[in-house]
Amino acid sequence: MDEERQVRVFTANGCEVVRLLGEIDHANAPLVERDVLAGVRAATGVVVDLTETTFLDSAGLLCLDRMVTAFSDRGAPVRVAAPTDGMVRYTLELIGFLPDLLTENVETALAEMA
Amino acid sequence: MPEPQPDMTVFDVAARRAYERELLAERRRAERNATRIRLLQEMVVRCAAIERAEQIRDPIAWLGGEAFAATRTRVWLLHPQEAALRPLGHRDAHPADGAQDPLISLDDPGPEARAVARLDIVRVDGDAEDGPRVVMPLLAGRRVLGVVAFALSPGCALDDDEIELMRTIGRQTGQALDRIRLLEETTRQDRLAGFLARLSRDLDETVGFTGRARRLVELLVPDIAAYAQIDLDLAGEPGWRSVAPADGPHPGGWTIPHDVLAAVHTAGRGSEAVTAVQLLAADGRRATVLPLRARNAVLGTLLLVAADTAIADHACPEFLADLADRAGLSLDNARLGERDREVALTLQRSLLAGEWPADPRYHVVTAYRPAVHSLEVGGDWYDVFATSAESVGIVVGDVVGRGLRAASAMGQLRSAVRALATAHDGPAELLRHMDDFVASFAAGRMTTLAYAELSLATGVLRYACAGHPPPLLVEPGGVPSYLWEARSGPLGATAAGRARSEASVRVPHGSRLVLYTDGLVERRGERFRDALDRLAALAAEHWQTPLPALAGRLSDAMLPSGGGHDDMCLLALDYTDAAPFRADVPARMSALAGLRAALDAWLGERGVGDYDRFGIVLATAEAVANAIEHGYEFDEVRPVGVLAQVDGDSVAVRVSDSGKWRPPRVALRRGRGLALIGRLMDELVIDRGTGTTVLMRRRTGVGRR
Repeated sequence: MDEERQVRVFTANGCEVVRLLGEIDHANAPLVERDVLAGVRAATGVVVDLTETTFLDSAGLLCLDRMVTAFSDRGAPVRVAAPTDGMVRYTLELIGFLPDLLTENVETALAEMA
Repeated sequence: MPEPQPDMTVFDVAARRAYERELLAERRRAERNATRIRLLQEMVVRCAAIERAEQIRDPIAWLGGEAFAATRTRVWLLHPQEAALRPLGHRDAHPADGAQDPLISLDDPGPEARAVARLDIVRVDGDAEDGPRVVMPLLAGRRVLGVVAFALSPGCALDDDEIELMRTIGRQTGQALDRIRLLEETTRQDRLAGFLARLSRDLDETVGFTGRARRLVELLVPDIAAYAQIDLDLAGEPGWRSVAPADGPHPGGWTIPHDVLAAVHTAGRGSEAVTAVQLLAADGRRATVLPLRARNAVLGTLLLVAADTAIADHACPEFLADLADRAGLSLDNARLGERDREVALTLQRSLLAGEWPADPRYHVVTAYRPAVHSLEVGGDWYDVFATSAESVGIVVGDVVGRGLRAASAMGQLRSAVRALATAHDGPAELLRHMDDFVASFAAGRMTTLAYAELSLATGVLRYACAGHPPPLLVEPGGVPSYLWEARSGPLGATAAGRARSEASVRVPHGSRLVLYTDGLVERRGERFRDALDRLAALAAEHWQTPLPALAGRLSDAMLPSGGGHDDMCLLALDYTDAAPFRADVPARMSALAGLRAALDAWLGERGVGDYDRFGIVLATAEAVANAIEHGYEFDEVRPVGVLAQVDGDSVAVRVSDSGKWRPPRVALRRGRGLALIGRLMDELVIDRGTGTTVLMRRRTGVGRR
């Protein structure tokens, strides 16, 4: 899968939104992680948008964990947007991934950081 | 009156005038009488067209007005039971007198009762305000049927001719009334007999003891009673009551006083015809109370407030007694039926509630639907048992008859089939032994059954049908076929002889067998073959429907929406789909996406739900990723084997590699993968020998996320 199409970064309300698209697994997680860390400054706040992520395995989880850690290290508040009904949210909750950071969608994430 | 002879008599003028006046008056009287006789004849004709005694009033009143200028005509009929005169409703020149006249006792000193006693006209002279009255008895021979009273205009004088004419009216009307009475009696008998017949039939069609009691009061109102109330003595329970109409003028019903109740019970315990007990409440309400009795016991009471209808008018005491007895018997039958049904149901439930053998190589589901509109349980049964370590026997049977006898016979036959099928070899042998068994067990004779034995290792199915509809086989892909071979007569039937045979067919893994009783395929208005075709089409359509849902779907679709008219039982067996999911995944991470998609599709085809599917796919992919990463060190040549199998209500997955186990370089990675698997699967076993095998199992369909 073309990694260019798996990461989209844009600015909203002065925050950076990192949208991850499709399946993030052992095959592409390292590339996704590299792209994200290179493309995000993490100056003000970051939303990792998983609303269009269809699958996340343990490699994807690891990649997500590292991104969040890196953003925090740069001093930016971070939120992870994953819809409650989705399989990705289900995976995050199964593993107990950073429950304080989880929000329903980008809008609520931005509102929380404003 | 002799004709005057003018030539022989000489009159002076005054006498002549007087004579002429007399002549004129005479002629007028004669004319008037002639008119009255015509009117009388007209009235007789009108009376002839009458069918009910009450209708006699109109022609008489008409005649009274036309012939005698009567200002008011009143009619009383002799009361059928009491020594009294009963007034008929009045429609006359005094509508304000709407109030019903009371009964007049025959001992009354008034003119009406006197006319009855005298069998002749009674005249009451008028005064300045009221005119005279004439009361005439309505006579049929020497029998009085009623009286008529004409009220005449004040000052009106009656001569002998007129009185005689009124006598004639009384006789003519009496005869007409007598004819009507005869007609009414015949009609009454027909009506009452018809009513009782309808009542009995209607009650018989009503299910249950209290159901019947409720129906009974509904049926009595309004034809027989304006209000009906049943009080039942249910053993060990406070009084049970049903009333009709529920929103009537007696909310909550009547409380029957103890003395009345005692009298009713005494009347009910005798073997002779019951007599009704009259109840006159303190507030003036009147009712009739009858015992509901059956088999020398009083079940309760029936209270009736008379209705003002034609049929109720004629409901004599004998009729009410007959009615109460029929009702009592019908209720008692329902009560006994319920008791038997309860025992039979308990027995049947205990027999049908089987624990089926747990064997991952097959799965079974059963359904039982009792007939609607029937109080008694049927003798349908099903059973599943291991005939050996490698084979399973399934049977569906139908005992002749219903009720307790059929239910207990079913239990014995079921045990016999189990014992004989395990001890002997094959369906034909079983049927031969069952024939011997029912030879000394009359209740089991003519039982029909379908028996099949499936070899779990080879898939060979041996089967035989004794007078039973054929088993239905649905092969993978939804191809249905009936097993029409090996048919012979019901158990113990002489015609069947001992020509028991069996047939065998090899069924592939993933096949489904459906056994059933005829209640599933016997539907009014549908030919048997059409019903079989419909069942086959349904089973084919539902071939992927998981077994637990199948039984309900088939029963619902085959039976009429209100339920079948016969009991139905059904047994479906799935010969486990042993074609598992197999994949050899190249040892590179980019192969994971394809594996996930393929496994997800395979699980979907087998009806595994969303979260279960997701969980199984994710866990499998994690295990494969582990193998690739740690077992093979990214050696793409050697694939990772994946095998998944749906096993009843769970899915088992095996992921194996032949690589050398190495401790993970990054603890976090492996930890997260295994942690995920642990949370997603109910069982996890990691076997590290030559290579690594991960065995996982997840229970499906338990409604969790």
